[in-house]
Amino acid sequence: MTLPGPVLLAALLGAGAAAPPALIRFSDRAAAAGLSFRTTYGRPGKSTYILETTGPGAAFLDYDGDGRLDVYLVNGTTLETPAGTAPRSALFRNRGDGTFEDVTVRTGAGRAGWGQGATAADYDGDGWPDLYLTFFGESVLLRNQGDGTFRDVTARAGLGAPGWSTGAAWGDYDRDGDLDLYVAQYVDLDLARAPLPGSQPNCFYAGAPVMCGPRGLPGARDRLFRNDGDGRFTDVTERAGIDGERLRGLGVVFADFDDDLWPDVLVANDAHPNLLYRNNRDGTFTDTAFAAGVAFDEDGRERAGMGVDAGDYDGDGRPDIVITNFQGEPNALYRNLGQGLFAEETWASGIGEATVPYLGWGTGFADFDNDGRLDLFFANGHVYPEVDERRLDERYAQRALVFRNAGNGRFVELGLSAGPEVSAPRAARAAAFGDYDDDGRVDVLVSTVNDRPLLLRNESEGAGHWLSVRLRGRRSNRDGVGARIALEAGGARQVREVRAGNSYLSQGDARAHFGLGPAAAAATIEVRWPSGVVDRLTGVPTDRTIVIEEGAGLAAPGR
Amino acid sequence: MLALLLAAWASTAQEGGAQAQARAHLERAREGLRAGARESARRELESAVRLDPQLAEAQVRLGLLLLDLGEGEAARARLRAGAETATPPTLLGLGAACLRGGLLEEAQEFLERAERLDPALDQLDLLLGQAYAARGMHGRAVERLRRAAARAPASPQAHYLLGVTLSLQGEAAPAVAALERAATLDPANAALHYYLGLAYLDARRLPDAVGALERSAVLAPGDRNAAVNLAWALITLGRYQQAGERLDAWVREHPRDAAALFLAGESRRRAGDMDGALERLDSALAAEPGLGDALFARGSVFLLRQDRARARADFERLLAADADHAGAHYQLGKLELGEGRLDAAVAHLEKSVALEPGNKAAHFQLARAYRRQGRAEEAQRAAARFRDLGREPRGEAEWRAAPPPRPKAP
Repeated sequence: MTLPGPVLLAALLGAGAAAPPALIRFSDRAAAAGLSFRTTYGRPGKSTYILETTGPGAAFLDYDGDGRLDVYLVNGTTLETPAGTAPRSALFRNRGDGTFEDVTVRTGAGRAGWGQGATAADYDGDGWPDLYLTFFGESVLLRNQGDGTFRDVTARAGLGAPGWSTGAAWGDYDRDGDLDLYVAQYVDLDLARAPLPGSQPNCFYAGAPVMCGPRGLPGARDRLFRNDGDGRFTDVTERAGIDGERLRGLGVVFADFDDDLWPDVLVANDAHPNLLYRNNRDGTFTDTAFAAGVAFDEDGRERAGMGVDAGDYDGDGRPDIVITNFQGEPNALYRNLGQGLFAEETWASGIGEATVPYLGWGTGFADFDNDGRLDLFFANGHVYPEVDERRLDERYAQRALVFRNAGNGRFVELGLSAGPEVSAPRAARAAAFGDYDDDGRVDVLVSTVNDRPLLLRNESEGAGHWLSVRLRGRRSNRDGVGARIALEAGGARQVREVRAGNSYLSQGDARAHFGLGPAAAAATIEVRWPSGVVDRLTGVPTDRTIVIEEGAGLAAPGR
Repeated sequence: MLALLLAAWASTAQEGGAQAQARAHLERAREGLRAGARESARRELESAVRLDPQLAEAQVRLGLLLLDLGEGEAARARLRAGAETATPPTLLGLGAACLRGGLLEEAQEFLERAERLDPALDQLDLLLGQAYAARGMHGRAVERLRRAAARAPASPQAHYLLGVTLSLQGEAAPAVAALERAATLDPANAALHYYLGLAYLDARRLPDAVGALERSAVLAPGDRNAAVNLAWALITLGRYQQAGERLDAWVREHPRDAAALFLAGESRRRAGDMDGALERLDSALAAEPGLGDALFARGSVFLLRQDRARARADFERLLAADADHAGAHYQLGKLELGEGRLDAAVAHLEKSVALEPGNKAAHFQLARAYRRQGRAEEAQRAAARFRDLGREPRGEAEWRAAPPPRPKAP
């Protein structure tokens, strides 16, 4: 029997088959949007020290409270640039018409030096997101004064965290209603005494002399700062049992991995085992990464952990983990099995094979096609500029990777179909996720080394319905960071947590984004706040941003 | 040189009845040899030595001819008989001929006798060094070759032989020095660059090895050993793409070269191209079904892809051939653990640990298996052992995955 083409296709798809998946596609709007900012980060073409390689961070934040995501781009410097003349980081205000204006000077948000990450959260509960910028040197806390300007309150807050701070994330680890700060630290580096390329065994790559490290360089101790509620923070690193082994931290994320309402912490370490700090609910943490199965690869080797995110990609309500790694290693995907255990799904998911040829940095779970399943994004680029000139088989500039969640535990890498600008090779680092144009599709802001950023506007066709949820805490922290939002629509349940700081040196949208596929309404939304308060909503229409206030349910938009 | 010596020798031979006939046969043999008629020359020489066994030149010429014809054993007696009255230069020539013909004991004997008679003979140290090296007497060989190189510092051959011998003796750094000197003197010699490449590999100077082996491959594109060793060096350096391209070019011409196909598969596997790896590993195993390295690599790819049935089949085949293959036990242990067969997993992992106590990965997986069995104390001990074995890698060679087995030297 021969079936006519359309009949055969229908038979293959199955009767009543769902609509074909939306085509996930991005285009780079940075130049058109006015993000012409070019970073400075070490000498192009050759690195003397590892400091020149970690690259700049990036953040989405709504600093002026107009409901639209603004952009913060971290900058660096070079070894040769005299102090006081280094370029500054920059803040760009979203005009709401697809373009941005540089407001660095008038807001006072610019900072110079070896900038690393940027993270934003309302640490003082005044309704305005503040900025924490990590540096090699003294990090900086910029308090948002609510009048369009920032004030440096680092000294008063006690958040200078000298050394080499990298990833930072906010979370209310003691559940006292204000946000605490975890700051990953990388390497204890003294430039006056640091070894030079080719001078030691760990200063070669593919046989060629390159900058030394991270192997062979001593790690630095991460820091945990408790918010005292009066504008000051106390360093509780020792008391909380954090990073006594001084591992080389880069990416950090707070998430409630064991569903006990107490935020845990995951730290991606470079050439050291990852850390999974279980919150002991008494102000201390215990590293459970080894027992949980996320410290090493399946052969007990430390990978080069860079960026990290947590998200429920398999829809079982538990946050899973993604970690980016070095070229030659796969990016790692760990499925949360509950009871403190994870299964490594790196290879089974299809992530492994597709990511081995890339050196990954920024990453995140996000539902790019609004089908209700979390997809994945990886920003890539090599650490050694020398790989091109010396023909070391690898490329300095690398393309980003977008994976669509196929819904069966597997991800499909979209290749060129994700858009030519995604496929264009860059030395990328940070990746921040957020809907900057409020069209209901999650966009991506990518930082690069000695280059312009990418503002990847999500132009996916056929994307489903969506809902964006902004939280306003009362007893809990103002942004609802750490709150767990469970949404049911179309018979499926999705869970998101509100985060402040993830990926690699990045900060994403403070709103929780849900893709709903064909569902025109969310049947229920349940918010479990860090305070323990639970809010429930029913029959919420889609394709909009809603605000939920702690203990009060739906609230009017605005601060 | 040997021909001139034999000519000079002929003039001193004695005349007589049978001897005269023997000389006549010898003369005809000379003519035959000049004309390239080796069979008739052989018959004439055999007649000559039958008539006059003392006719040394005939014995020697017959011995050399037999050597040329590949009849080493028959040649041996003739050469020994002929050498009894030979002059030092003739002995030297005979020693050289025996070296070329593989009569190593005779070569050593003739050369040592020549030295006793005339210690000042040119080339003596070089040839004796070669003879000693060929007989595995590396210490004596090195001494002779060092002397030869000192006497003739501009001779690439002495440095070359010295370098190769030092390599065989495991003295990587001086081997490199000698071979570098030889390469400077004779830069167009492919074999020399090849051995220099091997010496660099021994000395863990991988980028230099790549350079030398690349030069050798350019000078002798058909040299399999240069091509395969170059690819191995590239894989060890982490330059998988270059290795893969070179190996693919090689196996296109030599599709049954199982070892090269294995390396081609391994280069793809390490680069993350699992489809490419499987294609090449399948070909390697088609060419040589029992190739253990290829079985292990292919099973490992299957295991990554969760194709557990085929992974199991490869590892079990490997164990059928070698029950003490620690890697196969390790991978089967992981596989069983993944399928929840904890007892079987523990059995394989314990065996792997027993066979390879320094394998950190096996302790790591064993700790996981014990924990899942509820054997907390044993799990802790295995985890502690895993941690004890961990330390900061020093250099790429320690943090990259271990290289595949190095191709065997010819």
